[in-house]
Order: sequence, then C-alpha cells, then structure tokens
Amino acid sequence: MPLVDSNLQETWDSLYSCQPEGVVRHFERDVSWCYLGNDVELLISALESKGLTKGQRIVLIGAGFGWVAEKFIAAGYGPVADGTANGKVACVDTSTWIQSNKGNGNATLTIINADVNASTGRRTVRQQFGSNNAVIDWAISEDVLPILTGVGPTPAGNNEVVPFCQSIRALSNNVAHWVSTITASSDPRLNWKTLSEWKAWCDPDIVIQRQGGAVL
Amino acid sequence: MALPTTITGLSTTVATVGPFKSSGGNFYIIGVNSSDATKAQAQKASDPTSSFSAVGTDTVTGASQLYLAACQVSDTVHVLIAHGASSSRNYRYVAFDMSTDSWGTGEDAVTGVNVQTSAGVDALGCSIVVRSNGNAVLFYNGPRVASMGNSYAQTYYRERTGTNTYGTQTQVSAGGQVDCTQPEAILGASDRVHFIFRGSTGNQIRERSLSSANALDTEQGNTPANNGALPPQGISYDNSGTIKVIVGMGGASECFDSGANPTLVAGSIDGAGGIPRIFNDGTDAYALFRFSTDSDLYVSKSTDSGASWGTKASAFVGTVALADANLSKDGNIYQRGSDYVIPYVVNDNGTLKYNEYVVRTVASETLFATQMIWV
Repeated sequence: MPLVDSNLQETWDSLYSCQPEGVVRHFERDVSWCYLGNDVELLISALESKGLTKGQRIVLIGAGFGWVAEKFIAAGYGPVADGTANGKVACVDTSTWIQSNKGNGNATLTIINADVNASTGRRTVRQQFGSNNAVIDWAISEDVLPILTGVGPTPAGNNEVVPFCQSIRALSNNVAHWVSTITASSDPRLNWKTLSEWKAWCDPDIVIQRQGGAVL
Repeated sequence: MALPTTITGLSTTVATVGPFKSSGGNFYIIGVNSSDATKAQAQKASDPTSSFSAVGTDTVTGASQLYLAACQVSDTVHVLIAHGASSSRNYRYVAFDMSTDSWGTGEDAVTGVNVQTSAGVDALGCSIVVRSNGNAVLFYNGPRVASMGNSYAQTYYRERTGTNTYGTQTQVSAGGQVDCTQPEAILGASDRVHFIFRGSTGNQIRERSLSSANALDTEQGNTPANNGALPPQGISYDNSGTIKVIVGMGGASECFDSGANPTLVAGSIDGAGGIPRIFNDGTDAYALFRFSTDSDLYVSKSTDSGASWGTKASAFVGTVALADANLSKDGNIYQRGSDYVIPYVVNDNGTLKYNEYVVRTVASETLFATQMIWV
C-alpha cells in the first residue's frame, strides 16, 4: 500500500496548499502555478541534457491533471497522445480523485487510468500511442516515488519502489523520475530521501530533483 | 564636533533605517529600542555631528521587532516592522512624522504567517514603498506554499489604500519548489513597483513588477557573480526622463530601466564587497559597502546608472562585520551644510555610529535651491 491514499481529496489538500490571493486553495488548475513555478522548465532542460528531443513519445506517470504535460506540449513536445501513432505526450494517473475531478475544468488533456505496474495497464498506455506495441521513448514519473514504501538509503526489504521502477522500465528504455527530495518541512507521512539516495534506489534510471532540476 | 557620532539606545541586531532629513532641517534615524525590543524608536539631531536623542513615544508591537524597512515622503517616514516568531510572523505599518516628532497609530497589516523556508530557516525581511497617491505597498514573506509535501517560502505584496485599510494579500514570487526570500520593493516609473527577491535555485536574484493598476508582469531572474547571501537593497531615480533602477547585493548589482518585464543587467560593484547600500545624488549612483579584506566601508560611484562601478574610495575605517544589521538602510543622500552627503549608521565593532561620506560640495548656484528632488 502506498504511504498515502491518493484516491482521497484530503490527501491532495494536505500535500498541496497555497494562498495566492489570501484564501487557502489546493490542487486546482487556476493556482497550479503556485506549485509548478518554473520547475517544469528545469525538468525539460534536465531531460534534454539526457537526450530528450522533440518528436519523441513521452508518457508521464502520476500526471495528476496533466499540468506538467501541458508545459511539455507548450514547449513543443506535443501533440497529446490520442490513440494514434501521431500522439507524443500521454498522461497516466490511477487516482480515483483525479479521475473523478479531471472533468471539472482541472484537466485539458486526456488522463488515462492505467496501472503501469500491470501488463494490462502498460498495454493501455501503448494503445494511447496507436498500438499494443508502440514504442515509448520516455517514461517519466511525476513525484510518485515519495508515496511508495522503501526504507533506507539503498534498496532493501519489502518495498514498492523497486517493482515500480521495473514496471515502467517495461514501458520504455529511457526512464526518469522527477522527485521532490527531503527538506526540513517534509511531510512525515511520505518517503523522503536525498537525490543520491533516490538514485541508488532507482539506478540505472535517471532521477531529477524537483527543487532546482539537479540530475543524477 | 567631528564625525562619526556615537548612537546609543538602539539595538545593534536590527538595521536602523535612515538617516532622513526633515524640511525643518533636522536629521532622524529609526531603530529598535535596545532596552525593549518591542519598541521602535526615532532619534533626532539638529546637528548630527553632536548627538542624537530619542523623540516621540516609542511605537510598540506585541513581539520583538526583528526587521525595519522605511520610505520617506516629505516629512513622513513610512515604516514597516517585521515582528514575531518565524512560524507566526507579523508585519506592522506605522508612520513617523518628522514635523511633529510623533508616531502614528500602528496597523497590523499582516499577522500570524509562517515564513520559514523549506529548510526551516527564518525568511526574515520586508520592504515598503509609497506611490504618488499616498498608498504604501508592502512587500514581505507571507504564507508558505505546500507542494508535494514540502513547504516553500514565498513573497507577497499588500497595498495600503487608507487608514488601516488594505488590499488583497497577493503572491508575487511565481511559486514552484523554490524558496523566495529577502524582499525589496523599489518604486519605478508611473507608480510601478519593482519587487526584487532571492530564489533558492542557483541563488538567483529575481524581479517582478506591479503596474499602477496592480497587474503583475512575468517573473525573471539571473545570477550576478558574487551576489552574496544578504538581502538586496536598491533605489530608483529619474535620469533625463528614464526611471533607472539599481539594486545592490553582495559585491554585485542589477540595473534596469523601469517598466514591465525590464532587461536586467548584472554588474559588479566589488568582488569582495558586502552589505551594499545604493544612493543617488540626482546625477550619479553610489554604492556604500563593506569590504571583506579589511572590514571597512567604501564607496564606489557609477556614472552609467549602475552598469559599471568605479574604483572604491575609503568611507569609514573600522570593524564592520558582514551582517545586514550592521549598516542602515532606506536612507537618502541629503545636503548638510555645504555638502551633499551619503549619511549612514554603521555598527562598528558593537557601537552604532552616525557618519557621512561627502559626495560633492554644493555648487554656489544651487545653494539657493528650495527643494531636493530625490528626498
């Protein structure tokens, strides 16, 4: 079981909170800039330093309402995957809260409900790019790692991190994890590590620090 | 008597604001009362080479005052005070009237906000400017943004539109997983307010501006070499119809022409410089700063609105530690006697001292001027 239940609104409310105009707001589209700032630009730059190029097929896992994917498309990495071979960017999120609220103006892109830990889910993702065996150039997780179990600085014991990484490696030869790393303010419910520790857990995948775009 | 003049009764742990010159020809500094940190105190001198003494009844807050910012408009010094714990920071607006030597009623403009960075560090700082309509714009660290389980310091502005009346508290920094700290507001052209702050990513100096209609433009930033770690401080002035903005930080500077989405130009005041305070005498810009090699104060001059800085000249020989509190801020060049001077209060090895750096002597034809446009 993940460390928090992403099917619950209260989980999203507790993880995302801002007051851009004096009123407390949460995971809502019009305040998404509070949470993203220029972080996605740094992510794209980091990925480009590792070989990402326009025209490649990208799947974003744990994509929420697809705001990060929108920035990829705005940067020229689209169009959005549409079930044909023409699509380049797909969004995946299994949260029932995300799926239930994506139509409330929060999402403009298609958010696929597919579990990448299962072969059927991975097939669903490939189909979004046109066929059961479509080649996906990049599989990128969006801050999924901190909600998965896995104790310590290096892989050890029963955990959800290593199986998750193995599963998305089955989707693409290029795997990157965009991950928030530990700070003094970190929510104690989640799995916090340094970027180096995440690299040890996810190697040979690329890990990219959400705070500033450092890459390992 | 000769300068410098020793100042007593004010805290050395919080930077004083000023010095300011009143229309009555008196000189003022404002700091935190050294015996009661809940009180801000104004001190006055008719002859700053002699002594300063407290005037008015010290203005009080409910918690220790940690940071002062000020903006002089005629005989009124608008003051913003940051006080209280970093987990529950308050910002109080209060004005000091130099014509009556009295404080106005304090107003709690912002209360009870957690301003800690994601690293748990106090994001201490605030700034204030006053628009042509008399509205003060307060710039400060406000509520943190929680993003994926971490919380990040962010900057906000709030406009004072009347007595104890304020507009909406609005986030200035563009968010994301970055701590934004050390707010500095500078009044630009046509009541535009330029917000300067520091972003934790790459130690960037960032800028965003607010139009007179309160529309924010796009946040931008760069990373000048040797920009240090202490708060930026800046000025604006009219250079033949163009409002120039210059900001100093560490041994570096930024300059630009006021307007929406200006082009930032990074400069170097001195690679070993620190705690720079920027001034303007109506013609040229000056940076008063601490030099790390000898802990003395120096002045560098810029004749191109901050794009480059000349060779430093000694301004004060002493022992000035590298801390923002050790040099007064938000003061202005003024005329005293037959000289235009950069006035300042420096913490010299634990003792506050008023001192001046003579910029130039008043030309005979301007001795009869009735008003200095930069005060």
